[in-house]
Amino acid sequence: MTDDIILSVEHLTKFFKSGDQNLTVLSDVSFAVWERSACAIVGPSGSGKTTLIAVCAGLERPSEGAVIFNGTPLHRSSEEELARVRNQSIGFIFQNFQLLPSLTALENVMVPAEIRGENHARSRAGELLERVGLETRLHHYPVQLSGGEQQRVALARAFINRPKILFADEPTGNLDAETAKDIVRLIFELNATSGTTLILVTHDPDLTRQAGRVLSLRGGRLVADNGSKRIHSSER
Amino acid sequence: MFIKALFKKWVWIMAVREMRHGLKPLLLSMLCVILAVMSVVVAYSFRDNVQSSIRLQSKSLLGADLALESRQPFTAEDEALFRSLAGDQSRQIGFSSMAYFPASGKSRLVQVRAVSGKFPYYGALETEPASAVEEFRQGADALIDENLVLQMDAGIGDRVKIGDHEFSIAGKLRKIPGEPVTFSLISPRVYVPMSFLEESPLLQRGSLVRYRIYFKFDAEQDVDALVQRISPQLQRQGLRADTVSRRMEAISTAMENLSRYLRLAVFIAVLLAGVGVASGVHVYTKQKTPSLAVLRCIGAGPAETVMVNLLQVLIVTLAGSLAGAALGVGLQRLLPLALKDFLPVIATPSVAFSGVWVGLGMGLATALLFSLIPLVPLRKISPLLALRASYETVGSLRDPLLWLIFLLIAGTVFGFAVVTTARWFHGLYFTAGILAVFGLLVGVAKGLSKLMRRFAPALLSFTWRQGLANLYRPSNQTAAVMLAIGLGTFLMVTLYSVQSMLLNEVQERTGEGEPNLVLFDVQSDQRQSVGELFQSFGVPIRDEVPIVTMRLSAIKNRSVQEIRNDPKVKISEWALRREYRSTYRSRLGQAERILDGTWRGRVDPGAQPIPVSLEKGIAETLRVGIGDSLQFDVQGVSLPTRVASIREVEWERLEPNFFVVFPEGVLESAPQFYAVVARAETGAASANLQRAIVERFPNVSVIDLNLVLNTLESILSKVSAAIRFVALFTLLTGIAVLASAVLSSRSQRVRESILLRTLGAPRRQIVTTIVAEYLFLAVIACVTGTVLGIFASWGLSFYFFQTAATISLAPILIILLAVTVGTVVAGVVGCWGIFRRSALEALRAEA
Repeated sequence: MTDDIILSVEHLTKFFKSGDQNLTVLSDVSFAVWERSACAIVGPSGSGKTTLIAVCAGLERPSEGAVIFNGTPLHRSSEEELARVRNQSIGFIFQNFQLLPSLTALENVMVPAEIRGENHARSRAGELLERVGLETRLHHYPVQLSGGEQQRVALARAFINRPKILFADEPTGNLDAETAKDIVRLIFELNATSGTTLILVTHDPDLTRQAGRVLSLRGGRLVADNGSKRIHSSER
Repeated sequence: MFIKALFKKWVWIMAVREMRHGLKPLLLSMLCVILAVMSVVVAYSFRDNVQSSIRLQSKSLLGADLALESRQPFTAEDEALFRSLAGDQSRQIGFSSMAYFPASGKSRLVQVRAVSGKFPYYGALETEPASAVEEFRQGADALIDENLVLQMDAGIGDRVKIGDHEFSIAGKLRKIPGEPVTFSLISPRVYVPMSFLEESPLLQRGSLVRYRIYFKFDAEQDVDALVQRISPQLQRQGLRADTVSRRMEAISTAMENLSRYLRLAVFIAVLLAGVGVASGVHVYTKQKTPSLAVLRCIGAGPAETVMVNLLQVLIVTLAGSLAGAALGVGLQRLLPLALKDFLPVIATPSVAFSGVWVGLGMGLATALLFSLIPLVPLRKISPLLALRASYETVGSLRDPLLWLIFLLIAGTVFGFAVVTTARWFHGLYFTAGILAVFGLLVGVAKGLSKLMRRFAPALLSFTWRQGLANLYRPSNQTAAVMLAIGLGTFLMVTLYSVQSMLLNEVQERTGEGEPNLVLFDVQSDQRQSVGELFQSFGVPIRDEVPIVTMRLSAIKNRSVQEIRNDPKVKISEWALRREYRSTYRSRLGQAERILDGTWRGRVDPGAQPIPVSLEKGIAETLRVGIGDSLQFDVQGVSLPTRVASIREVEWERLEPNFFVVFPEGVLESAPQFYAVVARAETGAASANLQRAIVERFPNVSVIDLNLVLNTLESILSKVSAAIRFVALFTLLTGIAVLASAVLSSRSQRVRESILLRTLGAPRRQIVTTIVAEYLFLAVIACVTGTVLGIFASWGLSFYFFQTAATISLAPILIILLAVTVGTVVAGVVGCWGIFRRSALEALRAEA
């Protein structure tokens, strides 16, 4: 069974202005990601991993090249269009959780659905939090949750709008080994049930192994890609 | 885009949720809004309350339905007119005279009012004791201004001598209908029975007398229509009419001017509050930036991000404005109390809803406009900030929307100023002035800071360098605090400098060698005796100036009556009708200089036309120039004259100055009296001489410059106090901005101090850093405000008061020191308690 390409990156280059200089973070990166696949991006510190997923997720515009997500050219979209795509089709998990401190766990999960204008956000958020094992922590604020619990809330938030693709930037980076395992398990469980494509930046070997396809970056260049052929999620 | 975001339900929900956490900087900046709205409500309520009080107490402004006044005794024709008008009538004759208090030996020039009849018909003469009015009406006692009784160390029942007559003081006058209390400072009033005048020779040649008659009509009488009907007759007979509606109009105009000043003054507080709000919102949004980046990541649009925060600001501002309005309604009694000496009515405070609405509107509008400055750039927050800080720096001043907001603010200031002053160019001056002061304060303060930052570090120890560097920490509110401190200093320095300049101007007139005593109304047959009296007291006479009273009968061969009847001629009525007090001499006086023409000091007797010298102002008023003819009437004798020269006169000098000066050889045998100018070297000599003059020459008036100076100081103090009270609103708002900045940066300061303590810094060093930071802040801001204040004082003195600008350093240094110390103390107090807890405990408490 074959899947369609959900994300296509073509000759992506990204540089930043720092004072008078241009800092090239990504240089001529090209790859494609298929639907329902899982892909890990690895590389040493400063190789451009976070910038790559930021551009792919529409958080940043490329300096050169193209990023086409689900048929939409992100590199040419307006801010409003990018916001809509991020809300409706993309989920994001951060290394440092990035929960809104003044909202409870339940409210944090509800926000993307509320932005979309959904009426049943509360019940669906409750269900998701139950799935990640936080049914007793719905009304706690982030400061009252442990790191693992916060990441689970972030996970639930990332999935509430049934995204087509989930980007995770070192989702286990700030967690102990035990908790990290739980989070990895949850990520792939949710991925399996919802069919979301996964793109993960990670140093975690367990996560890399489970993803299957690995994109290696070094000095802003794609130096290795073991997934140039399609690998269906059911084959992992 | 922004409007669409406003209608999204989640934006409102998000705004309310976000307010649960980290609201402190916003709440603190709302202190400024509360004070500003309070100020506006107080100022606008004052206007409404005073106008309403004027309407309610309108009749007491005049005390009657109609008053007719003349500078000459009423003629038979006048009396016939009065009889035809009917109604209840009262008479009053007012003139200046010396009042002597035998118990204390003190004397003073006063305004004597001899009254008969039941005036005032509306309102009342307020006296202490209250029964004194009735005693006065029935007896032969006097009522005396309360201030005068205090000055003269007199009391109820003491004697006061006016002319040859002694009165018993029946009571102290506290309030006269339609007259503010400050009148009593300038010209204290003494009410005496009319019968006294009939027996007294006080009203002599040369006395400036006002003859008044008051009417009370039936309620249905249309007084304005009546005056309109008899107006030609009044004009012909030289009578001036005053009605309730005219008095109301005049007073309303004066009160409206006062109200305008108040509204402009509190507007400065409103603008400063706006700066405080912008600063507080800036800190608040900086704290919220990570959350905003996350919102952008999960799909919030740029406009929605701005609206979430704008709604929070508006909600808090609404609450602050309501609190400010409530405070304003509660405190509105204070302003009429502070200004009561200047009000002709008793302002009765009541809730003026228009003031409340204006306050709420201004509070919300100001907070909205100023908060947009830090909020609008939020639309450019990159969602990437959720991952890391941006590599690229964005210059916020390049944002065209920001410039639009600045323009909107400037436009709003201009619009408000035009509406308030009712003149577009006044509005323009006000706007330009405000923008200049604000801009200069911030610009100069920032420039000085940059200079210090660049050159000072090498000279400073670590703690002082750290203190200076703290001014530039992220999310600093340095600009707002500098503006607040600088503006407060600017206001105080300007107020004190102008007050002391005006006082110095007067004091210079009484400097060494300057005359300090002037006698008026010295009759020809009293000259020698007065001279001998001065000699006996060892007080030399500087000058004896002859004064001849005359009236203008023609200008450029047109009779004054013809000119007055010609609607096309725009010569002021007062200049045509007044009694001119002219003199004659061969030389120019010390206070004069010739601007045009040739001075003629002497002519042959009988020479015509007589060459006279006119003062510049009166020449402009009469619309005459060199060579034009004027005809004067001196007790029935016609004097044709020609304008030979135009003079500039320093009116502020204490010596007799004249509109018209004749040459010698013309008026020597005309009926005349004298003004005598002298200098007494000591206060005791002056007091003794004055006592002797009053005893021997009761018709002679004495002006003691020391008394004038004391009176001026007293009036200036009252005016300054009132102005300072109004400026207090701005100062309080400035203190709120400072407090807001200190308290909202507290958590950052706690973290810094913990880090320093962890690195081994002793407590003393950390405190020194805090002191250094606020010292730099205060000194830079105060110096800037002081320099601007000195420039403003100079400008006001030179262009407005037309007096020499002299700066008194002592009060300025005191202000500088007080503000600096106050700022440092505020900063240290704001950080109080950061040492008492352990590092972990303190961090958790501040989280």
